[in-house]
Amino acid sequence: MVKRNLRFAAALVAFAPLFSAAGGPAHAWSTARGVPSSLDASEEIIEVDLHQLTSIAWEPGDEVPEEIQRLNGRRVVLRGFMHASVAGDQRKFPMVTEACQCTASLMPSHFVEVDLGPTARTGPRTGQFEVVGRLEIGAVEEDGLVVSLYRLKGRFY
Amino acid sequence: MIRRIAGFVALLLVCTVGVADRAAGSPQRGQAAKLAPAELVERHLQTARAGALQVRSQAAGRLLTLGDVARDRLLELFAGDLDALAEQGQETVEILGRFEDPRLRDLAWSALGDLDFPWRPAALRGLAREGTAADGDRFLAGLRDPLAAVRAAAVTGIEAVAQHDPSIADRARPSLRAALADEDDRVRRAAAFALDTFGDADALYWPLADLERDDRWFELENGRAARYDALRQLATRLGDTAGYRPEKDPDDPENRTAWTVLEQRIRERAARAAGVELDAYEPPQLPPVARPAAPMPPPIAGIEVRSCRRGEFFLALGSDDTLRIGLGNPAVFQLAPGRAAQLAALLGSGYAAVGDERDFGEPGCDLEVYRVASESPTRPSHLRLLKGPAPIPGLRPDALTPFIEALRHDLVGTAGPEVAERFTAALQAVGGPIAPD
Repeated sequence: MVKRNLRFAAALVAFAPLFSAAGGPAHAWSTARGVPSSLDASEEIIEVDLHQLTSIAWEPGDEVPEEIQRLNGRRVVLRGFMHASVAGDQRKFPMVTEACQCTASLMPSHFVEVDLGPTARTGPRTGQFEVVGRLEIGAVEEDGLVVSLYRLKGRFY
Repeated sequence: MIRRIAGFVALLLVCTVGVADRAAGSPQRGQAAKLAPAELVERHLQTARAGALQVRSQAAGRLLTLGDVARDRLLELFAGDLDALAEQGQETVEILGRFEDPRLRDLAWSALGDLDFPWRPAALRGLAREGTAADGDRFLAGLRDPLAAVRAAAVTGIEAVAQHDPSIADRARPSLRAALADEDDRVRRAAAFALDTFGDADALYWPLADLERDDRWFELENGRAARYDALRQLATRLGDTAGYRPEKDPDDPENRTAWTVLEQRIRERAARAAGVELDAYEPPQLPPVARPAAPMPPPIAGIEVRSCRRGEFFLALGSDDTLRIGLGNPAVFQLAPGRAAQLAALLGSGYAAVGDERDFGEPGCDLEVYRVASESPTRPSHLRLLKGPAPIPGLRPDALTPFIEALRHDLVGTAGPEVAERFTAALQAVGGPIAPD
């Protein structure tokens, strides 16, 4: 794990020219390694700060800010935590900036729903980790209630 | 392991985000319009209690739109029964104060007044949204609450009351100034922006200081979170962000330039508010807790306790034989040479004694997380106790007791018995009684 993260840090240093496709807080870095099979290895990967996504003031019915909407469909790397509510083996889990959001309700804008794909599963994780995949932005409703605002199909980096 | 806990599968099905409220019999969209109001109330109550986490608040909000039917049902179910209200969950508790009904607001105040009620912050947040002039003194009292989340909500309530009763600004000012030295940065920021609303623009120097934070607590990036929150609110007061980018290092040259621009705007605003010439204006001296932390040697072990009833504690042992209490710029106490390593070894022994098990209990509002950072402070080894509002007998492994007892001993000798007692109360609220050594 430590070795893998050192490689990740090295990749960040090597491929970290400032990129402003999202109007600001994103860094682009190229990689032909660690790309999920569903992704094109030549496509640019952007490092996105999870806080940027989850710190917006948003309520159901609101538009997502333009600088964030621009990230829709992009390949990104996110660093964060698994929400403490996750138990058992899961294909999908909420990724958050802090595992325990104990004193407030979880809102759709507070997490990225990570989908590992039809065959992958993960149990609870306690530390910080990275995921890479394609980011999808927009409210998805079920029974008239928003179940997610941000989704990422990908895998652990 | 959590995954082995019998009976937890059902909770898992409804709690895991991404698996929305698909319980059998749950009406699909389109059917909802055909339901009678009373049926909709039951449906929303069910979802607010046991739906996927991210839809509970939305479901509770729907109750507000149903008006009297929802109000009457809430009164029928929960008036005089705080236990039933606690079981319903914080999302429903939070909307009680938003009904324009004195009986539901009284119910929320009753919940707040019960220190064993698990959702006191939610009760006050809802009350604060619709603060009335008559609530002023109660919100002022909330500033002295033992829970930081309640204190922050009380600040919001005071601002809401001010819209009906401007005189509360002067009454609240001393307490809000005192809250600028609160140990919790959420409370400090809330107080700072409330004071700015009331004309004390110098208080914006507090969130400005947050823009210089880059502190971590082990892997938790609290400084980064503070930068985002402070900047978002500062931008609303100062026009824009001046190009400050919270995802970048505070010492990044562009951020230093932006910080200078923001500081100048605050200086001008504060000088105007104080009625002095800009050249003569002296910025306030911030208390140590509100200043960015100086670089410190890395932590080697620590404990995080978050109790929905007894509050939060963050204790870390530094490699420089210090005991650090709190986040951001923590209170630092010097221990005897070698003591931090000794305590970390005790915790390591506790880890070894429990084998490979690292998660105990079931997810909920309470957490007790131990960290041993043998390789990297940002990649510690965790041992977690998790639970909801209900107690779980025997949750904490006895093997952790020697570490806890030794830490409590050092707390008494450094921070003092009052802090040690509060820490113990929070521990007992999560993991249960501390077993005899």
